[in-house]
Parts: sequence; structure tokens; C-alpha cells
Amino acid sequence: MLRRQAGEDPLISEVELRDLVAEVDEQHHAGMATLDADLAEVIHGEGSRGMTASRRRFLKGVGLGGLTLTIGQAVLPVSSLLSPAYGQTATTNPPNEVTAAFAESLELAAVAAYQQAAAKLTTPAVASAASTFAGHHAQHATAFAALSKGKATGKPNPKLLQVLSGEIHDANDEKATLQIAYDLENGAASTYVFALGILTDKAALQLTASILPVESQHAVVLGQALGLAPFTPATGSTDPYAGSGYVPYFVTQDQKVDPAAYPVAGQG
Amino acid sequence: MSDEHTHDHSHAFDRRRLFQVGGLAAAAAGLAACINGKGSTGDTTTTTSTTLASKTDMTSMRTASSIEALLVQAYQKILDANLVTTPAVLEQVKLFQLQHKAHLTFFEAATKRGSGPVFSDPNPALVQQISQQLAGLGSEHDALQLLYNLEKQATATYQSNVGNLSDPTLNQAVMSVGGAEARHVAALAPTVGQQPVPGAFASTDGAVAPGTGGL
Repeated sequence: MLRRQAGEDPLISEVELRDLVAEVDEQHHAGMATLDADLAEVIHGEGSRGMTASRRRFLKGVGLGGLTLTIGQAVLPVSSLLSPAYGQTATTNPPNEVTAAFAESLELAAVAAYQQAAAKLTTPAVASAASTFAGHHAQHATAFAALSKGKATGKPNPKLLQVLSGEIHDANDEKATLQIAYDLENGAASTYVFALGILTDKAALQLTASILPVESQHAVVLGQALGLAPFTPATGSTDPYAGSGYVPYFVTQDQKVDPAAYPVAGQG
Repeated sequence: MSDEHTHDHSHAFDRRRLFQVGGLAAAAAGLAACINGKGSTGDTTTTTSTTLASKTDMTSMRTASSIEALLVQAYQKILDANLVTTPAVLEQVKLFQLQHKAHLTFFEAATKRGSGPVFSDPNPALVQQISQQLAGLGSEHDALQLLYNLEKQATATYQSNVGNLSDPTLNQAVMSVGGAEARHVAALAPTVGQQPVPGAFASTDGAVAPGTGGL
């Protein structure tokens, strides 16, 4: 049985997880067979809208009745997730292909990290889930590379992988290793919230929007395997949305992997 | 890892917060100052203009709030019927309803921000679609299956909005909620015998079209 919180009914057992992963794996292989066609539809279905965006507009706004959430340690109004007025600001951002290449490097770092972590994942169902998730990340990397107009390097993000490798090396047990994977998945989801604010190409936006939920769901499975609570409110906070867990009130960009801090190979 | 990821932008958040409390003009000026002042990427330029929210955006936000109101109502009816008795699952159901209330407020605010008329009621077309099913729920599994279906529908809807909104910041807004709904789906999935992560790419199948229900 996977670790659960004391006194709680198990929502997912090791057997159940193994069965689910087996089914997912079947779908994964089936999905791979149609991947090219699926990606072609996603990528080439419609062209760019020519819009410009600002990642910073996402985090400005005016008060809205005191509704707040927590980003990192800071309590922010929910209005901070909304622009102050629709279409008020136009900003030129990094080209879409640069962001796609960065995303590819992040996904490849995730694949490599899961491979390195495999030796420390001793529970069969957990190891199987991790293998499946690594397969998903490989597919994500392929999809982002296809949008990168040749800028994708085909290499894991060097600094991110260095950080992850160090953490995995230092992890004493399966739980510590799972925690790294959990943080990684949350970081990926957060990065794609961030990316949605700087991408302008419709195909890139839609691909990113199709991957963000998957990284989020990876985090749920890993969070459950870790025995975390879905959401634990922050103690002593007056903000009802402050807290931690694998089901936050909102997925924000606060845990993102910053492209400026983690350049793709050859750019550092 | 997380600490390192967030550290670089802690100042940016602080600076953003400075103009979150101001008015629109101050916010626009603050944004320009923030971007120009930080200059971390060197490839960002900013201009400002003022345009009204598009009708499509407003319709999408109103549709989103109507979906959240529907979810709040569905969760409430299931809670009132005491159909969910497994303690851990019941706690999740209560949590998810609270989160949908927050999402409803969020989309109402988004609509208001675009000067659109706020819609706070459950989507009438969707209410009609599920009313019979809701009335006939007889077990915890039935209830969770309905909630799972509704969560999937909400996730697909927000994903389908991306790339089709005139205000690009709304892409982030809808997926900040869509990502949370996707987590609801994954958390509920084992309770109804479904896969928590059904594939490498999320689908928009079953998405609710903007304007559904006459909004």
C-alpha cells in the first residue's frame, strides 16, 4: 500500500495504481502510434494570431473584494491573476520558437531525471508510474521541438538537470526521490502557466495548454504516493487560499523554471 | 529546487504588488517601469493602449463562471444528499467545492474587469443536461462519477479557450483554473475506476462552447 495519511481511507492502492499505470501505458503506446498525426493537427491546425503578450500583465491588477491566494510566501489578491483591463498593454516577448526550445529542454531534463531516479524508486507501482511519466515527458519534448523551428537542441536543460541530479543523488530513500519528482511536476505545470503569458502563436499556446494539465495530474499521483494531503491551509494566515498540497486553489507561475536562470544548452 | 526557481523573481513579485493596488493608469505606468527597469531578458518592449474587452472574451468568461456555479451547485446537492461517506473522499469533495467557489469569484471578477455583465448562475443548458442524472443519484460511486465528468468538462473547456481569447493574459487566467480542475479529475479518477493521467496530452473533447446556455 502506498503511504497514506494516518486515519485516512486510501484513495489509491498500490495494486490500483499498478493497474491504472498499466492501462495508461497501453494508451501511451497507442498514443505514440498516432502521435505524428495528432501533433500535426495540434501544430498545424491553425496559424498564429499575431497577438502579443506580456507575462507581467498576468500579475497586475486592482483589488477585487479582498479575495486572495498565496504565491510563494506572498499573499496576493486574486485580481493579480487578471490584467487590469482587457487588451490594455501590448508587449513583445521572446519568439515562440525560443520558448518552445526551452520547454523541450525542460521536458528532456525531466526524462533524464526520471531515468536517474529509477534506481531509487523501489515500490513497483511507483517505479511504473515514474516510467510512464517519463514517457509522457519524452512526448512533450518531441511536440515542443516540432514547434521550435530548429531552435530545439535535443538536449536536457543543463542547469536544471544539474540541480535535479544533485538532489536525486542526495535523496536517501524513495520518499525523498518522489518529493523531487513531485516538485519537478509542479515546476513544469507552473512553467507552462508562465509560458502561456509569453507565447503568441496559437498552436504553441494550445500545445502548452494540453500539456499543463498532464503535468498537474502527474503531481497529483505523486502527491498521493507521498501521502500528502490534497490541500493544507497555511497556519496563521488570514488568507483562506494560502497553503500547500497537490490540489491548490489555482495553478500559478510561482514555481516556474525561469528560462533566464535555466538557459537551454549552448546559451549559458 | 523550488526555492531556487522562485528566488530569482521574488523582487519582481514585490514590484508587481506595488502597482496591484493602484488604478489602471498607475498599473499601466507601473508595468512599463517594471519591465523596463528589470530588463532581465533584453528582448522585451512595451507599448500601451486601451481597448475594450472583446465580446468573445466576455462570453468565455461568463460561460466559465456559469460552469463554476454549476459545479458549486452539483457538489452542494451531493453533499446535502449525504451520498459520499468515505471520509477522505468526503473531505476532498468539500475542498473541491470550496475551490470552485473561488473559481466562480475569479471568473466573475474577470468578467467585471472587462466591463461585461457578470453571470453568476449555473449554466442553464448544462443544468438541464444533468438535472435528471443529479436527481437519480443513488450511491457514492454515482455521485463521484458525475463530479468526475463535470470536472473533465470544465478542464476541457478552459483548455479549449486557450488561443481563442483576444486578451492573451486570459490564457493564463483560464489555465490557472484549468490546471486546478485537471487535478480534481486526477484525484477523483481512482474513485470511479478511471486513470488519473489518461495520456500525454489533455484533450478538449467535451468542452463547453462559449455562449452555451444563451450567455
